[in-house]
Amino acid sequence: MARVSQVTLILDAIQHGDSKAADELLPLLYEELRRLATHKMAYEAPGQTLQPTALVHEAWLRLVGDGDPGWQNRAHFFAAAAEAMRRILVDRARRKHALRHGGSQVRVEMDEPALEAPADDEKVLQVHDALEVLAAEDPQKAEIVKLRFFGGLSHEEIAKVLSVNEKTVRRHWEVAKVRLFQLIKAAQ
Amino acid sequence: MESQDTIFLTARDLADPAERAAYLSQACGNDADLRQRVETMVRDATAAGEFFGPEGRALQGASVTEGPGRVIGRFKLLQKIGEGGMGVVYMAEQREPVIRKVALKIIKLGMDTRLVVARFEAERQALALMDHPNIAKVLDGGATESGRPYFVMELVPGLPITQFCDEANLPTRDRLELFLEVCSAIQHAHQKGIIHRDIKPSNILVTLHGDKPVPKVIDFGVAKATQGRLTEKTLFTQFQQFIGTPAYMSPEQASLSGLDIDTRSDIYALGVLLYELLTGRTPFDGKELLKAGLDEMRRTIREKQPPRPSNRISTLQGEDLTTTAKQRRTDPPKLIHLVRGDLDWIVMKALEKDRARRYETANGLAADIKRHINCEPVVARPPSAAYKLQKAWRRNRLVFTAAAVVAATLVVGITVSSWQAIEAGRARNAEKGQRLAAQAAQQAEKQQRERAEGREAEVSRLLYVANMNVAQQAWDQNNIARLRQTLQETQDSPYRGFEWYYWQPQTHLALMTLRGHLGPVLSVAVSPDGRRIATGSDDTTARIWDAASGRELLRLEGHRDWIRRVAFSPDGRRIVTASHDQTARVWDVATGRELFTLKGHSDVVGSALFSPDGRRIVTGSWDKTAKVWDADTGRELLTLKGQTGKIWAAVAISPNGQRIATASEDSADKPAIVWDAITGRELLTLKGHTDRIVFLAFSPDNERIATASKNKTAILWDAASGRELLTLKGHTSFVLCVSFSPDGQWIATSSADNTVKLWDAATGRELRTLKGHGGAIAALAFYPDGRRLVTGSQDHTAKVWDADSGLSGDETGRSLFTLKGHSNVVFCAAFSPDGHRIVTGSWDKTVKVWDAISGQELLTIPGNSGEVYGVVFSPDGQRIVSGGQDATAKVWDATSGKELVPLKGHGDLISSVAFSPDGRRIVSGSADSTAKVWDAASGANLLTLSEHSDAVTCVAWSPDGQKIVTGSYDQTAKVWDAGSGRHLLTLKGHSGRVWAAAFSPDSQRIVTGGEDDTGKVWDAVNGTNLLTLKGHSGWVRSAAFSPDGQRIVTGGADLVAKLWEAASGRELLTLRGHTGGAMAVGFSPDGRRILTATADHTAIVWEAAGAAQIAAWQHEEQAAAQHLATARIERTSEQERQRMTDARDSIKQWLVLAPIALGAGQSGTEGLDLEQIQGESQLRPKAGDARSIGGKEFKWKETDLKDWVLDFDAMLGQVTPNSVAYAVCYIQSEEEQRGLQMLVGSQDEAKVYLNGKEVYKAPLSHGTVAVQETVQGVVLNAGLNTLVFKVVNETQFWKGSIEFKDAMGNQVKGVKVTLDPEAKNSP
Repeated sequence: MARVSQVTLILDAIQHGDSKAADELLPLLYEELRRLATHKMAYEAPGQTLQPTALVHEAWLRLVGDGDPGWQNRAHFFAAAAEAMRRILVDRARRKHALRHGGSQVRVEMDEPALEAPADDEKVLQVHDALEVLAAEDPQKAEIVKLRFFGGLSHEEIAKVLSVNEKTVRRHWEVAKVRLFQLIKAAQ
Repeated sequence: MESQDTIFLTARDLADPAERAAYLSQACGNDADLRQRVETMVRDATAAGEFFGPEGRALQGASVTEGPGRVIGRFKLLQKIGEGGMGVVYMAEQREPVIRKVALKIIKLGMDTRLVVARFEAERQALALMDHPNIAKVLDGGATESGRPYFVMELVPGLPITQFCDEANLPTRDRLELFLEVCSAIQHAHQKGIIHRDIKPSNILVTLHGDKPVPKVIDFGVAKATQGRLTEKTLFTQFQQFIGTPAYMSPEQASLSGLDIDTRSDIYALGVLLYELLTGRTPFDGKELLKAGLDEMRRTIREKQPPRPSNRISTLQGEDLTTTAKQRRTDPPKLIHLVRGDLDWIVMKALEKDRARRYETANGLAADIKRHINCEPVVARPPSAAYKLQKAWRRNRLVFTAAAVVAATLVVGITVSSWQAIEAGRARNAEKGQRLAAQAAQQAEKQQRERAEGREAEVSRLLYVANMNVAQQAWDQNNIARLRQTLQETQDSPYRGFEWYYWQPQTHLALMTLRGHLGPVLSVAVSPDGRRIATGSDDTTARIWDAASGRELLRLEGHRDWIRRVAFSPDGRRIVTASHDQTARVWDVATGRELFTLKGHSDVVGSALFSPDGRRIVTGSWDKTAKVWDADTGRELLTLKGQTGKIWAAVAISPNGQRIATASEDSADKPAIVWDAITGRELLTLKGHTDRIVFLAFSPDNERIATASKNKTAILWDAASGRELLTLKGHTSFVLCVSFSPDGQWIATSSADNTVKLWDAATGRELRTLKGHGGAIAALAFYPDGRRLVTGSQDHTAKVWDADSGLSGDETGRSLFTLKGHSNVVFCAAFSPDGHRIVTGSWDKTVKVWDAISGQELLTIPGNSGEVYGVVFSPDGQRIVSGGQDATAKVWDATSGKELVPLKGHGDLISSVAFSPDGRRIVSGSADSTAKVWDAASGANLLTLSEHSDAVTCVAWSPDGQKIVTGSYDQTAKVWDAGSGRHLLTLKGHSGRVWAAAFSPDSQRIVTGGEDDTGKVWDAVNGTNLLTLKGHSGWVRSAAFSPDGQRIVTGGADLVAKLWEAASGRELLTLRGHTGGAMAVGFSPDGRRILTATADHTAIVWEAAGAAQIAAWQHEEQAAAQHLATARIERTSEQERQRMTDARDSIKQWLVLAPIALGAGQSGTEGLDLEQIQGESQLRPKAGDARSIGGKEFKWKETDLKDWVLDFDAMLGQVTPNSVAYAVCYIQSEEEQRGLQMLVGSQDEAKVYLNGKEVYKAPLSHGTVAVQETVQGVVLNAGLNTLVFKVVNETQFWKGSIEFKDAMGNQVKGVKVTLDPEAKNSP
């Protein structure tokens, strides 16, 4: 229960302009999401996949609870969660990548979350890298990609988190996809 | 940037390259960079879309989706054949080891696949053992690549059993046959140790082998593998997701009680299935259950009794009912009749909430159905009333509990209108109670439960007490129906005592109940010789009954509407009835034959009666007139006009035949008029009632008239002067009927307050109230001997009453008897130890001994020289001791009355005496402030107890012989050691003189009563005041424990005796009837009677009914209820038949062409739309005309109908489904008639053409012929009109009817039906 209040406090702090607080939120979420993913996989049948959406929402329930802390807080949370998710996926992809490319001695931690990404690890890394560039070009589009691609949020949820209308999210998403694709292609 | 995005998105969506180029030229203008960027983006868009995938998420749900073409294990999915809440079913192909098609069911995501597969594996061997023609084999199971569980089963191409039955319109019998096969399959599985757990129509598919339908049960093992154990948490989601409908869920599955599901859960589901097959509905509606929420759903499944199948069918409305019947190839009355009885009981037995009461096996269920088919008695029997009540009690215990807590706070010690509170409390607390209970069950720890059980016992005791207060209230309000209900509800309470058994006979006070009418009894009459009773009812029948046995002898049927009045002719040979159908009819009493009908009134005939000479009949009508008729010919002789309002039922003829009295509901002008019976001249007007007069009667001596009015009174008038003599006030609602006793001494009134009251005709004093009807009493009549009377009530019964029993004293309720004989206050009374005799002592200075069975006086002992204050039998019943004013107690021989020994020594009057339990000693209390103990044989004074400071009023010896208690004017009671006379205890607490003291049977408690209007219960050992009995509104003069120690009875100066629960001090019963204070009270040794002695010079014995008597009453009432239920159904079908034959004006001649085969595959509706004969609208056949249809030769046949119904089956001599019939007739009209109504009735799809034009079309049948649809604005041409009636029959029976009415609904004049198309206009 301590964690619940901790996250809520952090969210409140962020809302009141404490920019440092956001930095505290991220590791917290990262840990929680990793834990959740690992835990879930241990109890599900092999072959079962997890949806980041489900993970993030579950993390929300666990860390914040049922009460509605307001959309402002919710936005911070999901943004942080999406970022956390990105790091988890990227870290994992990097490790796997390393494993495949000769790093056979690298020991995979036992609690490695068995997230199965149909978008393969390669892709996760590519998008991750391209996203850095896009963020410089167009931060809002990059944020949308993060929430969507890594956070698994729906357009509607993204619209709420970013306080824009859903149509705008769709348009940005459509454009961002093409732009990222071009960036990835250019990188190869 | 925004604009670049917009341009890109717009361009991307333009499919045509030329169009896109044109757009880009226009949008980018001269900006070549922009254009190039956008063009690149458009080019990359598709690839980008593929790169990100449809979801655009790094992590997605199962990417591997099963679908046609995919291979799962050894199976290749071919096509999706079904989808349900639980998963998707595919037809799949197995390649090896054999090539065959199978059904593969993939369970939806969201389940713990590993567990499901593990459970399935565990069950697999058992599943493999099943081999039965009605079971689809389970072949395999496992997990798909995407981690979803799947099951492979034998492929059954078929429909769910209910759907199959309905689509095939399977009759009930065939449905039962299919069901038997299902039972056999389930039985087989059970023998192999497999429980299905999810039996429901969609898991029983019917497939055709040739043309034989074969049911197959699918999904064995699936439910067990997927459900696991239901828990509170998973229940609701599982319901919605996996079980689909909770309608088939057994109570134990719903209860989550931790009970393992066993084979009997399947039996329950089979019961639900049978229910649905029979009625088309499940016992509880699945959707409703889900909608109600989890708690309510569980409550319903666990506790609510579903309606019996036949009841369910009979409550279906219109279309639903006829469709349900039609789907079973029958009509509603037949279907109800078929299901009623055996099948009801069979289904209900399978659906028992308590699984131990269900059929033990599927075979048992099947065997009972076979017995039903073979017309053998079935095992399932209507559960006894006792059992049902017991269940109701159990089921509602929690609800009761919650209600009782509320009720108890209201009830304790005070007289409150608690029953409304309980009603409200029940409703309010029902839900709450359940919720609380559920929570409690969850954390049930043993200790807690035990405590809860203790509390529960306490509250159920409280509830019983509350219910008894309800009973008292109901009685006081004349609400006998409510009283009966309350007694039924408490029938299984372990806390019942005297009061419960006492109320039983109060609901059966009438000598006889005449049951048989299907509606309120509005009128009663007794034949002049007293041997017959006639009743008239709103069921449109009059009935004649044997006045001695109550047996129904004859039924007079013919009236079309309510019968409001019946009357015998003076010679008793005829009866006249007055009806709402605007006629009066005269009938022969011996045969029940109708002799003639008196027609002439233009509204309801409310009254009809014979003149005293039998030669005339007088009727009164709501048309405001009265008429006089010749009683032999039915000729109208006279019309009495003058009333300005409806003459409701108020017509009377004076016994000398000279005058007629009428009264109308217009009370302002001329409420009642007295007429000269011969001339019809108005003689007198009676004014005085403030509301309408509904009934009136002459006194036997012609001199008075009694009127009954809605203003709750009856008024007695001088018939000569019209002067008001008396007003009888006492009823609490409308007075509906009034009558003089034949000797003119009494007047009886009946009222909407459900009572009859008897009054002294001279003084207007109320003598007695008769209670027992469960509704308003519309009619009453005296027997010629004046000793009995008969009443007719809203409750559908007539009752015969003893008119003169207990006319003095016992005004309400029936005590066993009143002991009359003393000429002064009866101050003391007691039963003999064997209960056979009663002894009373009175201020008339005598002691009397009575027979306790007959109430007869056996002995008078006149030997006291003063008022007698105390008297009791010796324990052996041989002696009596009495004491009184003369300060000397005397011992008497109880048989001879001989004085045996005097007990002399007291210095003042003796107030009370008692024997020691061994009979050897006597204790007496005296106004000299002492009590003395005597040797009963010698009369020697052994002890004197002298601690009281004022007069001793009462003494009692403890049953164990150890103690004596005395009560005194000094406001205390004292307990003494009986052997030594030592003073042990002083009971202090009363704030007035103590008048009564008695020990409990175990000698542990003492009850006292005093001038502070209370009774008090004390611990006899330590003197603690345990309880105070508050309720009397006067001194408590006497008190006693019941022989079992559970009850205390007290007698008060407030003229009532009260019964209390000894443990709690709660009031249970008030015995009213005394006109003087109750001076002494006591129980008979068997506890079934209470004796009260009173200041009104009498003693009364109150008796509770025995168990055998109660059982006999219950049996009688159940039998009557069943009989009536049957009669009611018969009457419904009879009414339909009646309506058919009644329409005598309808077309009875037709030319018919039938049966034309309906095209293969055509539905009735399609067949109706297609012209089965070319130019069918223009048909104009002659009899004998031939026609070739589909290679078959048909002839137009003339048909004459007995009634008005075209019954094609009857005409064709065979049942011909899937057929078309044409019926044609010609209607000759003298002139053009517009605005007519055409009434069409058809059991099938039907169409009517009139003169070539379609005027009616019903693409769906609407059930019975009696349900007619009306076509408005029909025109008949002058001359010949051609009517073509086309009927399409899909299933068994087909019938139709057509009639014409004018706009007012009357018969059309000037028309004639002919079968001759060339007919000329009739002259």
